[in-house]
Amino acid sequence: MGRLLLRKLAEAVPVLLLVSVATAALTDLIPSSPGRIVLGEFATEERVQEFNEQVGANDPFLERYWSWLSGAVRGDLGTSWISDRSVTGIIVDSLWPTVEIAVVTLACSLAIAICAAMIAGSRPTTRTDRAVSSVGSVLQAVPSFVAAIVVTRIIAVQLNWLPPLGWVPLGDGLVPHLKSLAMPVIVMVAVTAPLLYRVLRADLVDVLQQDFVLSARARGLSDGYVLLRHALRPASKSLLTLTGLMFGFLIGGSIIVETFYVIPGLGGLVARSMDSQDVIVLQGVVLYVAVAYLLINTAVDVLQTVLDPRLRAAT
Amino acid sequence: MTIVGGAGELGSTDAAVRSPAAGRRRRWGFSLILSVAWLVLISAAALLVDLLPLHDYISVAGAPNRPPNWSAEFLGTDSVGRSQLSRIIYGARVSFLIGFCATALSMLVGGALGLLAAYFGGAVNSIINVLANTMLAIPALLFLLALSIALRPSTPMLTVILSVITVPAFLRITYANALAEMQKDYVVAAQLMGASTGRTMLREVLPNSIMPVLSYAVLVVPSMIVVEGSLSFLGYGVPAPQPSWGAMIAAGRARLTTNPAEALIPCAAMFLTVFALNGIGDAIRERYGSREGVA
Repeated sequence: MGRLLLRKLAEAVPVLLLVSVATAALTDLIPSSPGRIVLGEFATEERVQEFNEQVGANDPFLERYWSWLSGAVRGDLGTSWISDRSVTGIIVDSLWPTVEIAVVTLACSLAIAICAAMIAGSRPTTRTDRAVSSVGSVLQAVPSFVAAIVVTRIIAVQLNWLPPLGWVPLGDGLVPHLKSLAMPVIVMVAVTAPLLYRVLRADLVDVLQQDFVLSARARGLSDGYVLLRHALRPASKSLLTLTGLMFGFLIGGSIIVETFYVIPGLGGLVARSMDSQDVIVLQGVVLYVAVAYLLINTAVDVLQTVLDPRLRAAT
Repeated sequence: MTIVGGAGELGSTDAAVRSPAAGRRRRWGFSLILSVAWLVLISAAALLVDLLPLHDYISVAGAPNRPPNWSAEFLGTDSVGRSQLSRIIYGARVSFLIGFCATALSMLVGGALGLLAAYFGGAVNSIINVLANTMLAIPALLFLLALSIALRPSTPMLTVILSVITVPAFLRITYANALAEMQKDYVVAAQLMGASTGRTMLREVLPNSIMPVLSYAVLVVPSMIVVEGSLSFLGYGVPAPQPSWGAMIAAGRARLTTNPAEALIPCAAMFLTVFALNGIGDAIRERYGSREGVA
């Protein structure tokens, strides 16, 4: 397993380097200079030049890349062009709401998807299966911003149960915090759960047709026991891979959902940096997100071998 | 997101194992007929919009913020008084154009790279693989936003940058299928008869590995439409005043209490289109697709 971990990490190195080069090149791609963006249309040319000199935008690409990358390795991603704060500080401050929403979403989605897949997958092509799967394919056609509109209209406007937007940190009381957490989570679950359900159901149907399931049934074990103790583990392989890939989905979804509900998280930060063209913050977010993605998927690969001993022999 | 994690496995397994008649019956079920009907309706409207007696999408059609009602403007008007009906239809035009063109472009590039990787293997394969992994390490929406800050997208430019995000997925599917085909006897036979590399790949391997790729492409179209909608929703999609469903939803959001139809109607259009394309994509994939190479 150690060998596998090493190999996966070695594979991640060129990917990370490419991501960092591409992100660093973003400054060169923007049509105007940082100084012009930050100081506005009416600033004098000298002040713009002075600002560019200050943030190092006039240095040659390799020099700029090197100083950015060597800073990044130490956790220093430079200073925001707009607010004079360090990029790492801004990102760390907005990390919590996003991570909390993502973790709660993932837990709820997995719980719903696993229950629904066990109910539907254990009796394929019956009426129950078709009903559950239809709900799944309807929800699968709902993009996050459509879900947000519909959920807000029903829960906040019509029923008046929850505030329509905003974020209350945990420090300001548990109940208001959970209330502000509820709608973003409902929206994200509605989008992610159907994907997980679909993959697990298909695999479960496959696994339940295999001989070892038949032999377990022949030994007189109950259907529920066979489903839980024999079928679920081999069937959850693609589910685990998909859960790892879900990370990108959750980050993308958080940009939409956090903009919609005005939540001060990572997704909201991306949207705000886009509006103010604070490219250096965007670069930092992209780099951190890529690192997190690679780490999570490496962890998933390792976990795969823990769950399935046959893979251990192959590596 | 849906783009790379394409989860098109529903039904493909049990329909194949169980009685084929059950699968066929479901293929032309009620919802599939409705899906085709909706797509025919909306694409006919989008194609013929210039001939229809409608307001264009910029001019004022009546009092602002009218809810749906029994008049020519039966979908109501937006906050400026522009016809919601016209904007939905012109928005469909943009969505379909971008959805289909971006998918086609992506399939072309990803397919070509996949064939190259399958044929040359070795170093070429490794380089292409690292490039694909790099793409996948950045979430699609974040990638697109970062690109659109640099490139100020017009509609054609938007199509091009959207097509980039699914290149890795097309690459992998083509690669897996081409590799499987290349081990078969007829390819070896062609090579023994002295067919050139180009001929072997384009005339022998490509036609025999293209069906799974095409059936995957049908499922990419709706995800492209969703991603375009997301970008427009955030304000970085097709430039105004050109209407887009995502931008209409974002605009209607502010009046969710007073005039909910303004946001809900483009939501419904988006949902119906994605649902219809997903359903048709699944039906095609059930027949021609392969499970390898995806996710």
